[in-house]
Order: sequence, then structure tokens, then C-alpha cells
Amino acid sequence: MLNDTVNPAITYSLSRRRFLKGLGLVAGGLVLGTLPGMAQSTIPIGGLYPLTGAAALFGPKFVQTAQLAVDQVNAAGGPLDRSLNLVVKDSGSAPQQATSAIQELINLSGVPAVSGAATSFATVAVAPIAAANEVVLISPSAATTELTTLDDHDFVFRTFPSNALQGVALAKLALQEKFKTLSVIHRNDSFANTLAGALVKAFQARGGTVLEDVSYPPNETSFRSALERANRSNPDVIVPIPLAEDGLLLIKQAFQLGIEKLRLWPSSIKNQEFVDDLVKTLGKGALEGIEGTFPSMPQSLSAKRYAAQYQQRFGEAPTPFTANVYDSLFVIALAIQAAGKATGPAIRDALRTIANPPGQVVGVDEFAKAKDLLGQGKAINYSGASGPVDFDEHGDVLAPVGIYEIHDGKIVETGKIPAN
Amino acid sequence: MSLWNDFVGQLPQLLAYGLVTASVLGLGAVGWSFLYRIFNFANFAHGDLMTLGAYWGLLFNVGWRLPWSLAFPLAIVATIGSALFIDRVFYRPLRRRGSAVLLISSAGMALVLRNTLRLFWGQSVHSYDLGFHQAILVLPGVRLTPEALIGMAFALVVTLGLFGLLQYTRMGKALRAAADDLDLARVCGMSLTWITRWTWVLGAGLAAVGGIVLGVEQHLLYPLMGWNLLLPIFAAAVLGGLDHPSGALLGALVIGVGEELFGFFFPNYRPALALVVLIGLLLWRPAGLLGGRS
Repeated sequence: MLNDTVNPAITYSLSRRRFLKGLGLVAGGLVLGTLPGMAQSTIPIGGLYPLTGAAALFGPKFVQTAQLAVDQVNAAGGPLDRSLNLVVKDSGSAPQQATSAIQELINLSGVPAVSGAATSFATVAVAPIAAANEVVLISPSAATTELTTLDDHDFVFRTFPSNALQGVALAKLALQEKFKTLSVIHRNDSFANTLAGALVKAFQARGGTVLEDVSYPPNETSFRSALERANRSNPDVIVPIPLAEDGLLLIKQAFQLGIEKLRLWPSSIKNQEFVDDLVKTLGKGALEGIEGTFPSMPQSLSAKRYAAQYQQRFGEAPTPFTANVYDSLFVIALAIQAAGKATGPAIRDALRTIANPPGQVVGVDEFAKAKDLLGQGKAINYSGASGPVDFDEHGDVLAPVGIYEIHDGKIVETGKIPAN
Repeated sequence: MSLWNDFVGQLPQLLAYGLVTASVLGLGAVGWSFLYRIFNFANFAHGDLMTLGAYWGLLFNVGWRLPWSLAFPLAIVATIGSALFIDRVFYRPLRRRGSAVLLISSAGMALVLRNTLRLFWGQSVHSYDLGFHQAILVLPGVRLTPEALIGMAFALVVTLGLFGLLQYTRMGKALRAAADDLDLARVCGMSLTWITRWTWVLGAGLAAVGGIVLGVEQHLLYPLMGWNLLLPIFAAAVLGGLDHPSGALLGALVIGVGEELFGFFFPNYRPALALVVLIGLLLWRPAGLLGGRS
């Protein structure tokens, strides 16, 4: 009997609670429902850059450059008359950090396209996730050859040339300098492994002899035994292929040991800040005449305009890879405008249309002009800060490789090795 | 020439490199095992405490343009001060919650320290205002830089000084008593504050010396410099047995020399050696090389 009197009360109170809960959910849904409506005016675009870890030196520069591109696009009216909203996440120092960061970008921020990641290992790690979620990924600086052959349903692009090109150029430069034998000492990651692989293959194919191919783990702290190993058969030159600041420790330890053969450098240490630090400790003389290769920057009007605008806004000359960052954002904006909607597949399908010939050439900070042309139904061909930005069937760009030399403590660009 | 012949030819040189590596590992490991013995927790922030010491040196040597002879002692004092401050506001309230809580919080403190340094000094690399020297012939077949020699001498003097302190002074005896049995030591009238203070003075002081020696010897400072050494430091400390600091020094010698010899054959697996040796030794002698108890 007691149960009979209690039960209805419980049922009642439960059902009332359920009712209130339902009401709350509906109300919450209404509030949340307005959010996408409000967000209708802005399009979130991901920026997946290294703010911590070995490549963190580049991250802040990437963020400010991406913001520059986004601001310019927005000032010109934005794609589809909406503005872009740059959402930055840290790709960190390990692949798992990068993968959780891109999942946040995709699932929480709902981005249709991401500029990043910066390093090869992070890009290789996040590419399958982007492809599976039908989100476009454009890396501004990953050079690994692994991206070319990736099964990515064409969602993965880059504005930075593949290592395959630079490896051949390094080999040509070595032969040009009359080096007959060489050793490589490289970091064990996807950037350095594939660049070293391309260099070794190209150097041997052209008649050179590779004596030692030594790799060292990321976060290595002492290179002494690895350097002795690389030097053991007395090569004409030792090519260091680090990711970034690990190269400084490597080069300093080589000089400490009296191994002064690290005289052919790749793009990853073409960084005036590094050279300044080396000059401070080693002196200018030790570095004089060191040569290296890098994906070349064009001397086009677009590139000059970019350099001037960067200088004006940040008070310094553009740092490495930032032109490629700028282009990665700019082509996303153009693709959204051309596609008429901001979804991953639409952006993917429009990217080659707006970036490759044929079409009227548009360049840096010419979003308004591009918008006009597209509005008139005309084709456009973006030629950007880092080069012509023409994507091939793998989403790779082709670029001539430049040669630099260290002269009087400064990095000087001296020439070019044409692509192919 | 075969790789083995080259290895034998280079052996004295590689052994010398091993001693250089061991000197920095030793400074870290002795301090780490000392903290471990007294507080009974594995300090994950020890590598970053070394980095902090190196960066204090950078502030005084490069920022304030003091000569190194003034800048580096100041940096040691500043690191000890920082460690005492961290202990007071951070570890002390957690101490009663057990060593697992302390361990996890020290991993958090490692992140705080590293990123605070990033905040003030940025991501980029730095170096002390000291001359650069190439390796000179020390013995037949052995070339080392003056910096490496000075660093090794420093490591030797500082650790010997510590052993002397622990062995022969009243304070050292008290600290050893606290390390053996903290509760008993407190019952006998030693104040926990006093023990805590001197433990950090010695532990953080050694960490600072280690960080500065590393920065001088490598001519390079970067936010990850100490963190990257944490694993071999653990290995060295555990390998030597945690009973006496000299065990940590012996462990550092084994790991440091082993890494450089091994690294000539397998440069890519050099850091893995610390773990392999550790696993093997824990199977064979769980108490460590010098350990009396298991």
C-alpha cells in the first residue's frame, strides 16, 4: 500500500524532471542552433603549426603570416562575402600531438581546410585523418617524398617542393664542386630520411661514391660518435641534413672535433638566425664559402609585393617558408570563392582550377581582382609569393632549386638549378 | 678498412667522448638520486632544472654582460633560489599526498619551467659569451676541447666535494641519516624544513652546474637541452643503485661511455642503449651496481 502511494509521486517527479530536462535540451539546442547561424558569416580555416618542439622556431612566424593572408582576404570582402577565421592549433613535437590537434580542428572548429602541418613527420601523420574527414590539407613546408605517393583521395597538397627535387640539386652541386665522395649525416625523420635518400640516389647515379649514410635519432644530444663514423673513410664532403636547431649542435660539435667538412647544406639550415649564432661562436672565416640548396623563391612582382607587405607589417624581412604559408591560405580562399561553397571536396576540386594555367594571372593581395574575374566567369591562375603554385596530379608544386652561399657571415643566394 | 678496425683505432677517442657525456650525466644523476633518496620521489623536472640553471647563466653572462666567473656562481645561487621557491609554493603542499602525486606534479613542473624559459627567451637558440675552441691533442689519439676538459674537471671537483660533504661534515651526516630513514631522523630532532632546504641546495646546485657545463661544452642553449637528458639520467641513477650518490656517478660513467662506443656502430640507436642496459641490469641486479638492498 505504501508503495502505491509513493510510486506515483516518484513517477511524477521523474517525469517532471524528464520534462524539465527535455525543456533544457530544447532551449540549449536553440541557443546552440543559433551559433552555426551566427558563424555563417565567418569560415573557420585551420592553421596547424609547430608552437612547441624542435620546429617551434618557425611556428610564430607561420601564425603571423597566415593572419596576414587572412586579413588581406577579409579586407577584400572575403570569399563568398564571408570572412575567414584562422583557428591555430599546435602541432607539437610528436605525431600524436599533431593528430589530436587536427582532430580538434575538424571536429570542434569544423574547418573545411587546414594550412599545415609544417614538418614532414607531422604532415604524414595528419594527412590520413584529413583525407578520411574530407578536409583539404595544404602543407607550406613538408618536403618528404612520402606525401607524393600517399593515398589521400587528393585532399593533400603542398606549396613547398618535394625533396626529390632538392636531393638531385644537392647531388649536382656536390659534383659541380668536384666532390667525388661524400657522407651524409641526417636526422631520422621523414624529411631528412627522404632528402638523404634522394641525394644518395642522385649522387650515385651521376658517378659519385657515397661512403657513409649515418642517421641520428630526433632529440639527439651528442653527435660525436656519429660524426666520427661519418668521417671514418675520409670523404671529400659531409652533408648534414638536420631538421632545424639540431643542425647547430651538429655543426658546432663537428668544428669542435676539427671535422671541417660539413660544407654542403640543405634548406633546413638556410636560416640567417642560425648562421648568426654560428658566426658568434665559430667566426666568419669558418663558414666562408659553404654552399647549399633551397627551393627557390621567384623574383616575380607577386613575390616582391609579398616581401614588401611582410616587411611593412612585421618590421623584418620574410623568414623561411612564410611565403609558402601565405600561398597556402590564399589558394584556400580563392578555391572557396570559385567553388561557391566552403566544403572540403569543393575546395579540393577547385584548387587546380584557380592555381594552374590557363587563366588570368592574379597574385599576392589581389583577392578583390580575383573575385571580380571569377564573378565574370573568367578563369584565374594564382601566381603567389613562393612561386607559380601550380599543383600537379599529386598535389605537389614544381620549383627550381636555388643555390646559396655563406659569404662574410651572410646567406647570399647565388644561382639556380632548374627543375628537371 | 673494416668498421671494427676503425672502431679499435678510434677507441681512446670514443672513450674520451664517453667521459665528456658522463660528466654532464653524472652531475644530473647525482643530484637526482639525492632528491630521490630524501623525498622518495622521481623528479621529472630535474632535466628542466638543469636547463633553468643554464639559462640563469645566460641571463647573467649575456643579458647583464657579467664575466663568466661572476655569472655562473650567480646562476647557481639563482637556481637554488628558484628550486626553494618552487618547493615552498608547489611541492610542499603536495608532499603529504605521497610520492606518486609528487612524481606527476613534477612532470607538470617540467612543462612549466620549460615554457617559462620559452616565454622569456623565445624558441631560438642562444650561446654564452665565451670563446670557441677546437679540440686539442690531450693524449696520443685523444682530442678534446678545452671546454670539455674544464667541464669534466668541474664535474669531478663538484661531485668529490659533495661526497666529502656527505661523508665528513655534521650536515652531511645529518642528511645521510635523513636519507636512510626520514621519520627516524625527525624523531631524533631534525627539522624537516632544514632537511628540505639543504636537500634542494645540493640537488638544485648540482643541476645548475650540470646545465651550465652542458651549455659551455656544447656552445648552445635551447629549451629542450635538459629534458632530452632526463632518460639517461634516470638510467644512470637507477643503474648505480640509489643507496649512495657515488652509485649514480658510476652509472653515469657506464651509460655515458657505453653510449659513445655503441653510437659509433649504431648512431641511430645511441639513446636506446641506456634502456637496454637498464633492463638487463635490473634483471641481473635489481638493487643496482652498488646497491646493498633490493
